[in-house]
Amino acid sequence: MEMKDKTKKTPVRKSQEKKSDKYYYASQWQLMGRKFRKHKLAMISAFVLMIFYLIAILGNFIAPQGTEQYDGKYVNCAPTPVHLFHEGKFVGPFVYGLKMERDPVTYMAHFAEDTEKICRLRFFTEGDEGGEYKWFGLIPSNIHLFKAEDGKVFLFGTDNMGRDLFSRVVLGAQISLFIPVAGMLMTLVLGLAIGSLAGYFGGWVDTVIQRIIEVVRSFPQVPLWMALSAAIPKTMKPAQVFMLMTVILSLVSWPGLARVVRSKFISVKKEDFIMAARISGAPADKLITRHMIPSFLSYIIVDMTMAIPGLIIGETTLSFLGLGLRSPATSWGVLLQETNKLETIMFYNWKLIPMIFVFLSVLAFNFMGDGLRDAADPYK
Amino acid sequence: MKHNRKDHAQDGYQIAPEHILEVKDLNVHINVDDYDLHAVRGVNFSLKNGETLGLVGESGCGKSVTSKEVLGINPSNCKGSGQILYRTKSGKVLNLLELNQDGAVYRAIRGSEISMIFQEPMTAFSPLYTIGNQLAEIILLHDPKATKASARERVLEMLKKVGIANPEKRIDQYPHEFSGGMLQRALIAMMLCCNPDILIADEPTTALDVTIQAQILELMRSLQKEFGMSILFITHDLGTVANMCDNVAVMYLGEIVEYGTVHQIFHNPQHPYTKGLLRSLPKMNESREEKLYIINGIVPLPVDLPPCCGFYDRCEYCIEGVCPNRTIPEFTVEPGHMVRCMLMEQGEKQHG
Amino acid sequence: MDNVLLEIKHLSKVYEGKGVNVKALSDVSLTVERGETIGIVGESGCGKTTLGRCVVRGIDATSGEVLFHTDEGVIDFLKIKGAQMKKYRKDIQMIFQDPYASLDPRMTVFDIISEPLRYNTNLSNREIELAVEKIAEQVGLNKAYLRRYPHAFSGGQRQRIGIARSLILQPKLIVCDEAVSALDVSIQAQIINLLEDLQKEYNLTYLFISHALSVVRHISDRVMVMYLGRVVEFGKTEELFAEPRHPYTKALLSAVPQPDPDILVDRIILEGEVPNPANPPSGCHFHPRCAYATERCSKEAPPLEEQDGRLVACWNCEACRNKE
Repeated sequence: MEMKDKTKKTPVRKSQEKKSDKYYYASQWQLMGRKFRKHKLAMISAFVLMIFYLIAILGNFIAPQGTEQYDGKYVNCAPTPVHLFHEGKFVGPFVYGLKMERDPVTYMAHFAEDTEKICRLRFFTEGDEGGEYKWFGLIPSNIHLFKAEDGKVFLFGTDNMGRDLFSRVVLGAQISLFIPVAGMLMTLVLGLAIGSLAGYFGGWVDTVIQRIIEVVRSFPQVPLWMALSAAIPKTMKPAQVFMLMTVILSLVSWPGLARVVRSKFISVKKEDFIMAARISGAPADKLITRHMIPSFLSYIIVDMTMAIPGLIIGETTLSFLGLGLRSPATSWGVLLQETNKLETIMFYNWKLIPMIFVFLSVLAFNFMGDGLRDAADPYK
Repeated sequence: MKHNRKDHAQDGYQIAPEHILEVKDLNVHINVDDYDLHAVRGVNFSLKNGETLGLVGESGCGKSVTSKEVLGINPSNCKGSGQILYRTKSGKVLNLLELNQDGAVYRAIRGSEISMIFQEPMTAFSPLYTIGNQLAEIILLHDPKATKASARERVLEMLKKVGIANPEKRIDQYPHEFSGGMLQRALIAMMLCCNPDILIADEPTTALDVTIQAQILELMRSLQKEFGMSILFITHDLGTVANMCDNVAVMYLGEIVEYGTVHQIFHNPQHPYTKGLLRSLPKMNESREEKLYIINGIVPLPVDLPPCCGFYDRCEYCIEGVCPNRTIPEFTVEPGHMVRCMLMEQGEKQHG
Repeated sequence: MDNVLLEIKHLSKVYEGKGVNVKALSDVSLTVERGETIGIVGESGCGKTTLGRCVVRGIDATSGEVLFHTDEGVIDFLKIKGAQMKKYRKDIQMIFQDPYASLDPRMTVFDIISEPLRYNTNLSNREIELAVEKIAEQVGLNKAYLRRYPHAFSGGQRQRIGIARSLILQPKLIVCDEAVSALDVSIQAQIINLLEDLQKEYNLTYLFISHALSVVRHISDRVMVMYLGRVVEFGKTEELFAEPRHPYTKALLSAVPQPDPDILVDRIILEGEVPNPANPPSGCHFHPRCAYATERCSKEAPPLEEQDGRLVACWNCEACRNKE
């Protein structure tokens, strides 16, 4: 009864090669990518977030004004619409000049379009004085994406100091979108390290870490945030405040992650492939870094993604309460500080625009997390 | 589409009087991500009253999909075509494939006329209710005249019948308090509560230990004698089949490649796959020195299959230019023994 | 050098749970000779898997010794550390039951097979590559597929990958824990033959753990039958299968369905279930299900005694033999 190699004689079945070779050579992350791309909503969300982050990174260039620029002449100006046609003729993108009018009854000042005056938009041009910035903190420049010739363009209107809200939203995104991510990365490092220790070694190490986690988690989160944030000296530079905010956020959130990591460790320890690696002589560090952490990292990343919206809202809340960043530093929370008056909502409702961005980014992160969760275990 | 099926099946189908179920040219396509699995390819078989028919094959041969199609419990990405003719208790012949899977008619058939037991009995029970409650619920559901008290009586009786010791105590226990063998017994009791005409047993003993397996098989045999139902026995274990079944259908890659009585299949197998399968099995009464026979290769995926013998690329006797290139007809070896293999044609010619 | 490879002495394992201690393995002793295959059979909860895992140090035994006969003398495999561990760890390897769970899905087949080499040798990348290719060819894996991930392979091919991994360090002993149980019949035969061929080539010794009696009968030289953590019978395969002495072995063998409708074995259908190992019956663990049980059986556990070349743990062996 000898073996005969039949495959040489007969042609290889087409169906055997049906699934493309790429699939066979695809690593976990590639497989996850394939699955993620099938989740339409998550893909759209990922695209939206990509644009948000791109805008934030290129913020100084995209925003027509710097954070500290203001114009006392244009206080509480409504958004200026961008037109393409003037009296039926195509002129290209432009805004009309602005003239101040007073309401004959309430005497409230507001700005109206001066249709006599056409201010064309110029792209990639030198900005106004005070708009200087450095590319990535290195190369000084004053080139901005757009600017109205001899006039003002306020896409989202201005605030009560005459600062362009659009510029502030764009620059605020830098902080509102990056603090949560930085906080998460720090949480990830802390949570992974501490959770791994507890889960891998068990015994008294585990007990001690568990107790610490319980103690930290017993503090009510929001008051703790508030207390820590309130302790930030008012004289600190925005960059330092940023760092501190990150640390505060991650100090509060690492225990949750450490707990997840610990339980994942305990369950993965029983897996056959871990025992197989141990029997083949893998030392503890290799077991942890090559087999155990990779086996659940995708789940952790999903957890993290789902936690970012909480942090965005956390930062917004703190700043809104005046406990996080303060003017002149800008974040979406800081911008929303102005909305705590009734008149804002009645007369200056454009000042609520930053809220749309908080809303969109939180939603997008949630949808993306959803897609990632579906893709997290491609071997099912 | 399945969901467009009507709740009333057309009348006017005919099946042989001794048959309770006839499956004719059943095809099932499963739609998975990027491709279309042709899981069942033109399966024909019939089930007589009181017969045990074994559906045997390795994983991926389509035996489970076939049985689930009969019961109408395949997931919605499966699409079946052909005919599944079933004689109901009232004597009407229905084509089950025409019925709406979620309709009242199918629901009434499922359970009370055609029942199923699974490899994992745990999944058939809810962990939240006692075994007694769950069994009584089935009785109340299918028998409008039953009261709670009479249902409990019936459950006790059934538990006794399937050999559960101390049924008065067991009836109020939860599924997690039962061992695997006990749970399989309880599942059989649940099935008996409805007194079905057909029992579909999908690998009912695969997850059990050998000694427990022997108990359950014994139980099924004696219950079949008592209640006279037909059993469609699905398994990959040839030993169980030889002990349980009257007739055997061997499946490979979605097709029945050989069909016959249990003696024909085990003593006079004709298809190279059946032969290979039997030879590759270590046997208790054979010399240990001999090496095991090997079927080379692996089961291919049933995707984009051209008309061909499913087994050609693993077959020692594959005829070049024939087996890979054409649909293989059924050949009759002797009455009741069917083989789907081109070698039979040569044999017939030689004999003729 | 004597022909003994491994002596398992009084090996016990107790799983400590909340309030209950489960004695999964109690006082199991076994001498394994070079190049032989020892079959270990029993139903779930009998301790066969625990035994295998204790021997490879996948889990830590509670007490007992695993004496490993090396060129440098006898060492206790369960106690070795450091340099000795590095030297001898590779000699005892394992093949797992589940070909899906035992391969890390995030590593390519090449990385999986070569991993033991990276921990235990100082070979260069090129040497590792050659070694992996050689072993892959031997277990029947296509070299061209080494850079693929496990999800590209079927159960049988995955089991070949697992075998290649356990073999690459050229071990002396391989514990096969239900190595073919999860495979389809036609694939099972391929793997059994492969294991036999490899054994001949490398003079391997197998501890073949399985619940499939016909497979154990085919592959083993000697067979050990276990019930609830204890050895009930141990003997040469031919003899044990031809004439089982322990009532449990008898029942177990008669319960195996034979793939032949004409073989009508006089089935001994055991009553009841395997008891919960957390709360085993007193005396002989098997007595509640045993047809020959006497009062003594429920009080005293029978010792494992030799009867003409066979080890049996039963008070009433003679009685049940005479009954036939």
